[in-house]
Amino acid sequence: MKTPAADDRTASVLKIALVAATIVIATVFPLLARQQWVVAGILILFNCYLAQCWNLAAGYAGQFSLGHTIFLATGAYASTVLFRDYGISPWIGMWAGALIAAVLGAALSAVAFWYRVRGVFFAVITLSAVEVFRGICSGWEFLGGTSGIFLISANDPADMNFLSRVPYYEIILGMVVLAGLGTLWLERSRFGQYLMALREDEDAAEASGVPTFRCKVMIIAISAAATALAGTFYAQFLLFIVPETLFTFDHVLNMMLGTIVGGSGTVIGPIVGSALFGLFGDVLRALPFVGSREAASLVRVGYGLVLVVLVLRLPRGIVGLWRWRS
Amino acid sequence: MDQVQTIIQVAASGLLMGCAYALVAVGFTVVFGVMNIINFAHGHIAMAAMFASFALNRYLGLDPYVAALCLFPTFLIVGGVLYRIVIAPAVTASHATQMLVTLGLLIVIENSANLIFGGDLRSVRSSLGEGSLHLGSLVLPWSRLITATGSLLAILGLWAFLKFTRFGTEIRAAASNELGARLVGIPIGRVFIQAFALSTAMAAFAGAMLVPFYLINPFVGYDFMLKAFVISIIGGLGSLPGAVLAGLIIGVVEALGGFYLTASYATAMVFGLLILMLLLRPAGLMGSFRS
Repeated sequence: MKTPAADDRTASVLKIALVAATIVIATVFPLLARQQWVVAGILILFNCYLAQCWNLAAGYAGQFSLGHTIFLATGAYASTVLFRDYGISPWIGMWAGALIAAVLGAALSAVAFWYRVRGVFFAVITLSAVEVFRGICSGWEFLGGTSGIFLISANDPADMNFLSRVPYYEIILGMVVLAGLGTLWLERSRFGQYLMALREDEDAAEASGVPTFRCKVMIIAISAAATALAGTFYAQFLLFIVPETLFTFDHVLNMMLGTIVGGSGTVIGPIVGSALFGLFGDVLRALPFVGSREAASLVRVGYGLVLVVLVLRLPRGIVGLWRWRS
Repeated sequence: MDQVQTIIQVAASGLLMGCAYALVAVGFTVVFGVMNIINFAHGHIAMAAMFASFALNRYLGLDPYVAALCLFPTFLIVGGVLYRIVIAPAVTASHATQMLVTLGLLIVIENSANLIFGGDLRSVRSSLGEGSLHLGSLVLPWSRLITATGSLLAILGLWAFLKFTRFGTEIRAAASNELGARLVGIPIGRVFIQAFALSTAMAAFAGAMLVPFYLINPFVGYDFMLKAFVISIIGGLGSLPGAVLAGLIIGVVEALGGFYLTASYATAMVFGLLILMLLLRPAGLMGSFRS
């Protein structure tokens, strides 16, 4: 005879098995696939990871940042400049970048929250901050100005520089898995509960003793630091950083699309959403009769339509649909 | 002496440009004032109108200024339809939903334009705007003068519409107190659709008026959106005189900043100013009904 508890246990064992199998398949995939598919996989995983970072602040805490490219750029510039000027390995530089981004994120959000900037205005202020940082990075010769900084390609694992694409793939896959575990931990921690409480009703949370100001600043700092790690990865993968590709609004759009479509405020939502969007785009691009520019635009028109429909009709995302059914 | 003349010339160009920027911002500020919605797609509607003007010029040989007059009523209808399909379901939803819906609209418009017209920069010349007005040493191209005058007239028209007509009074009533407006029997749904249609048409008119001297590509929508943000927040969200004042300020600051500093530092300064404004005086220079 089955008890509900046993049912729950089977369900969670199944879930863990499914996740483990997915991770194993994802790990061996680049050893068998062609290079172009490995690169496609890297870009998809990169977007998954960014969406996971954004989900921490927007999904769990309801702090709708449009400024996460600042932290992406912080990570990229920090590790690259440290390597260029001091020969410090990006493996170490990435943590310096994360630290700087955390301080930056904490400072920016502390100022904004101190002045009681909320909701839409937080989005507007973060978007404006992007323009300030874009301007500074474009004008500052130390950071390479508008022409950016080039790194030299070499097979040097100690400096996070590989000729093969496979190591990059495994690194970003590892980052996605770790971010997933981190999110899971957050969801179950007291801190995570505080965040969800203040997301639902900030005044009520404050009144029940949640230190909302501190919680909001902390989650932005954590999210910023995690995003900065992706910035270092991005710099080492492309070996070229320039304000135009770092501060582009496209990154923010991808973060939002993946998170919202998959299900914001869930552990696997951002991964599922970003992966689906990425695969959809890659399949469309692989069609022989569409030119690459047309395909890219068409894919994005599709993204936009899906976003509008999903937000209005399925606000809890794909994962929400599955949960609701079970 | 030369230096003074240069400054006057640059500032004058900035002022003329600022009038057009103000026109981009007024529609944005009306929608925010009435519905409390930040329409991220506002600049992209202006961009869509620029491409419409480009197509009208190429295939029908229409002068861009004539096209602007035709595009205003067309986009009134477009705005009404957009409101019904996309905005209306989000009006009562959370801020995040509203932002995402208008961002979705932004993505669709930008990439549709990219799909149809490609990403190249395009320009359209107006035969009405040829030549320049010479005032002493000051040289002002007619095209910019026509656009600036047209922009100010359009803003004045909008102001008069809001002030003196029944529709306008209803819109202002809904903006200052939605519940109160409902209680006295103002049909809020109709007011919202009118306000959004008007805002869309103003954006389209602004885009179309800029066509004779502004290079067109699918990504200018983003620049317009940022301009609309900056101007309406510095001027005071919901305030038309504030938008004009802030538009002129931004036009001049951008022109002088671009001339004496690098353009990127000038942009950084403008947005730094915006952030300070948001923090210290969120009601803007001419803070209106919102505080």
